[in-house]
Amino acid sequence: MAKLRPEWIALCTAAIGLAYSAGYVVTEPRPIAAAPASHSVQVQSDNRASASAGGESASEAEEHQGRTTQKKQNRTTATTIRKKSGYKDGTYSGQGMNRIGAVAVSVTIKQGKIASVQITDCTTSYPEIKIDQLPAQVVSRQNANVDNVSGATESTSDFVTAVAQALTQAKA
Amino acid sequence: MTVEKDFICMDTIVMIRVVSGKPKQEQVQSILRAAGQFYRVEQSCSRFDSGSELMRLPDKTDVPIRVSPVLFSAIQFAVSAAAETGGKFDPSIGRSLEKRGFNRNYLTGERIHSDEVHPAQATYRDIVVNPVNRTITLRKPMVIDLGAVAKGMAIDLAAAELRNEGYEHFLVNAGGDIFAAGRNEQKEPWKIGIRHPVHHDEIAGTVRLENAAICTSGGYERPSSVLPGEHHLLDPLSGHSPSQLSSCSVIAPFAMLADAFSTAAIVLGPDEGIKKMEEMGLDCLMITRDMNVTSTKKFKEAGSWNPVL
Repeated sequence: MAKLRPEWIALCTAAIGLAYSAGYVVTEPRPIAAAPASHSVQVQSDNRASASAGGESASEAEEHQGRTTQKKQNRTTATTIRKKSGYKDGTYSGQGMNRIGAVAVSVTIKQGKIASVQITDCTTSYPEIKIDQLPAQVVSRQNANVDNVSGATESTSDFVTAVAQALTQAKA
Repeated sequence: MTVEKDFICMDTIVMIRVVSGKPKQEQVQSILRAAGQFYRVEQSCSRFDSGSELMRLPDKTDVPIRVSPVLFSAIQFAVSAAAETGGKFDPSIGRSLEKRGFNRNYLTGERIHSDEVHPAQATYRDIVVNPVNRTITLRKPMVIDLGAVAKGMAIDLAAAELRNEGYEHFLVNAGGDIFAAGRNEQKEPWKIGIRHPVHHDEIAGTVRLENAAICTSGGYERPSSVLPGEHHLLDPLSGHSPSQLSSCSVIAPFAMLADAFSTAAIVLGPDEGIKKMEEMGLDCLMITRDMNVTSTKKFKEAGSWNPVL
């Protein structure tokens, strides 16, 4: 690697150090057992199996998943805390279909803010048609001999429907 | 064991992969905490969320405003990068980007419209940072854009989080901007492809990285919705998208450096850009519109560059 000018090393070290340590001390006390997020993964798979929380039967849910592009979403866990953003704390899932296949996300709201949007399913079983712009993760999967791919920042348009579904639940 | 999780943040896909001997559940929890850094940075630095700290900054000019450590670090870094490039990289261009159609919140679809700014166009010189009091003073009204800084900074913070939890080998990829720590599952330096700027499911070549970041800028993913032929990158001095380069990748010890200077170098163009990267000590590879590849002298050696083109 080329030898980076020392003032830039100093500036970056200070910037990351300040931003990182402040997170611990002031705004983000470290969660001890961060249960909600891992829970959400579990809940997601539970939804797929039973889909009872949303008041729709499992067979109906399966049918939605299998045949249409409009998927159902379940509010999985929710407390009654509502903050300025209008989101209630909890974990919510959303699903959708798009050009790369089926996608599912799990959105966790903490203190009224989006704490994470995890992709819980991204089945890239795209059909034979030529797709212009595949996400890097798909490209890296196709190029089995690389660990990952660096490129211009891709947008998340493939996931918008799924995320919107989950956020609608969080606002309800 | 390798554990990988994918997230959506900052309008892109964030992938975190760790290789360690720890129990899987512990690795998952660590990945979630690392991902938390992205949401934290987004809540401070987003130009697309009227509720972010950045967009809630008071309109007042010439008054020092105390900001959070995250926002301060991002703005200070952006202003330093602007000074380094003589304004070819400039965080004061938020309002211009809004006008070019880059004002849509990717989660809600809402568009941000800031008030018309004063005719006297602000530049990075109108942002005064005070590290002692951690304040920002704006000398002219402006919307600050941290689009080429925040993602890189979040990658570095996620890496710091994982290191702090005892991980040596991991990969953080935020929409094509990557930090590669340690080695991959095969105990080799991580092998990273650089995306082909035209054929999107192909790669132009590969690099090998160990404890380094690589970020790639290009106009090919985000065209302007209102200006034909223009994209999300803007030359602040000409008022147009840079057109000579299709893609520019920078390898650096910090993702925030690689992020900001891959953007700066694409605006600087092939000649001036390579010169600046050599001068700073950054490794850079550029792909021109007519698919010529140029690089700094040490890029190929630094990344064991293996072209596919």
